[in-house]
Amino acid sequence: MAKLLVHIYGLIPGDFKDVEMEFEGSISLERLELEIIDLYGQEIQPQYINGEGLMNHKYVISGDKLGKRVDYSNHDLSMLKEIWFIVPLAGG
Amino acid sequence: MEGRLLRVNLTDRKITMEQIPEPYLRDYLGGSGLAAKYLYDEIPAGSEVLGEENKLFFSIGPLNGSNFPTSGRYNVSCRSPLTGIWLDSSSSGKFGYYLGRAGYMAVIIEGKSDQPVYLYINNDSVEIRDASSIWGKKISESIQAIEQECGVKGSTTAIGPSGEKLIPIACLINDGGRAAGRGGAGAVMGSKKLKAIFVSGDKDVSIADKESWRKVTRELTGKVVDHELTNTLKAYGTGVAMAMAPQSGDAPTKNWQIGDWEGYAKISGITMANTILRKHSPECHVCPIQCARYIEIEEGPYAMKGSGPEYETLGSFGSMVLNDDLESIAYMNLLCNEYGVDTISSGSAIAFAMEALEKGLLSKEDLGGINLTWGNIEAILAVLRLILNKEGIGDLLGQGVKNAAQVIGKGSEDFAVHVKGMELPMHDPRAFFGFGPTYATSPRGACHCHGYLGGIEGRNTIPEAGINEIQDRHALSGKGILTKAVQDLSTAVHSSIICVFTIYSLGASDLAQALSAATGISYTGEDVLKIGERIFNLQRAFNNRFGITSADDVLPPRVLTSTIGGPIEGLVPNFKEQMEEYYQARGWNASGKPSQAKLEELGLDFVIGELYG
Repeated sequence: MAKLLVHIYGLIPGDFKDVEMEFEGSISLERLELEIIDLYGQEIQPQYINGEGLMNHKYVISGDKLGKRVDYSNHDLSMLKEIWFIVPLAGG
Repeated sequence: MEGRLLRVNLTDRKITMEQIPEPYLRDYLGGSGLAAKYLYDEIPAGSEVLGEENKLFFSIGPLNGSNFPTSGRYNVSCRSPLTGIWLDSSSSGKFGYYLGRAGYMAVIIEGKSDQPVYLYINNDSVEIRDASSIWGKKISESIQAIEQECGVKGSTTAIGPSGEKLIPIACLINDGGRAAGRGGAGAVMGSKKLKAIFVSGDKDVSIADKESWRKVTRELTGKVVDHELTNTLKAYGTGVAMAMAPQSGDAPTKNWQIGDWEGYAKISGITMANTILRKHSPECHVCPIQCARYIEIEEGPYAMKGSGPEYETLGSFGSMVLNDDLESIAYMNLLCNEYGVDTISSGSAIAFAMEALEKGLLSKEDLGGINLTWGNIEAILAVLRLILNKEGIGDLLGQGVKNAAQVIGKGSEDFAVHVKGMELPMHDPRAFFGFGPTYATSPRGACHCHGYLGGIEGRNTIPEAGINEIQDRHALSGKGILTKAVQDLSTAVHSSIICVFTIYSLGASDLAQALSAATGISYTGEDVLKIGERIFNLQRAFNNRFGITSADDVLPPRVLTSTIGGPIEGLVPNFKEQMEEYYQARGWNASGKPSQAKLEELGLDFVIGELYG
């Protein structure tokens, strides 16, 4: 059982989530996004989900703990331990 | 459409009331725009920044004094003692609301008093009052004393000891910690021995079309309330952006050198909400966003209660100096608010000094024995106190990093991160490329509010300006055109005058609806952008008067070099191409002046004689 700490920042209004998710076997980005959207899709702003039911990466950045981009070519994320999904904000 | 201007001469203590010519209100709205028209006409070339000829222009716009969302704001403009060029700085709270209810669109302060005074405004009753007993006092104590003396409900904007000492990064504070922070208007106020302005009033605000106004206000308030970022900013404040820094790369770190730091989360708005936040601050008049924080630290060396640090302060006293102690940042914010100093400039100056010490360009002796190493909280506090009191190395650092680097020399200019003398705010042009031309051309020097990219780049469109596609933040083309459009929109917002955070949810056409209902003049979204463009170019002409050319439209070398590590490593804006595109979009010539044709198109013919002889 692999564990992944998932940060979901800026996709859900007023609620930034840090959730630990567990997976059997390898975890691809596509599978992870489907899981997240299954869990939180009702709360995530619709523009951040694309027509295929995945994250809309026109807005959403996915990255590892060091800020390195994670994309669909990463076939197993379990080694990352931590992954971020954010919609960047340059306000304030 | 009408508006009154109060003219107060502190030299001869003459107070007069003028009607603002209707074309001024139509073409410049209010706020920053009205200030541009008056100060262009009244501050001559060759005048001294801290002399009698510099004027302070406090202004609101056609939406203030009302129930329009975020309309408690006011603007203060003058020639900046930090940069020597155009300055406008705006603040939220209730001051703008009360100025509107007192029946004034603007107050212009000229001359100099020989004794400390404050200005009392209560409807048509206006007095210059003695402020000797509060001169030298911190801001909250001064405001409390003034409001007790005035005895009616109102709002006060004031300077602290730093403004009195003419420190060029001194600011004004109102309503429990709201700041007109940037560029040193506090020092200009100090030079006039004007400690504060108190304003109260209960007049009805003139609304031309009341029925439309009710409908538009209800509809646009709903748009602001329903926007996703309203809930986010309400929950976590502006400091929420710090939580995203590990991925966005937007938070400058170690004086803009590195792109990765473990401290971001410790000082973020999320951490603040989970620890020291007590409530959303109620100081901002009819604001549905409520991003302001009211915090309390119950014990320890930084015990305090009051206004919490904004994102900009979390950056300047946090990531910039590698300080991951949130409570200490809150305390530094409190000190700046009490003495009246801009947190961005002061924190940036300390980061600059840290690097100068590390590189051996300043010695520990230069710093009065303070071991100003990265993340050394006690040392940061000690140097901050020197800045606030204009003592020791603080005297130099309080002049801003450009001036400090000129004195220190030895290559320190390379890491003095400013544009035209104004320290960069806490948003990185390497993370959002649009900040490149935005910072390089903002009329007050590096500024993220005069072109509020945060609301547009990677998020929104501006169809009224032909920006119909959301632009990727690292796109290599289109930034010049985008920047111009965002600057024009932001300038109209600052002249209306409401909070730039409305740019997330309201577009130019929304603003046009509100302005039309308030003034009775039929504006379109395109008109609003054209007004913004007119004002922006007039402010540019003001700067041309004081020597600004295209050679000044540059970025500091540090942000044209990659960060070390982090999510934006290897990314730097293609600045030369951005600026070529920008100049073309603006209609500026190679020397950095608006072209004659552009000036004519914008109705700024009166500028042509001075710029082109």
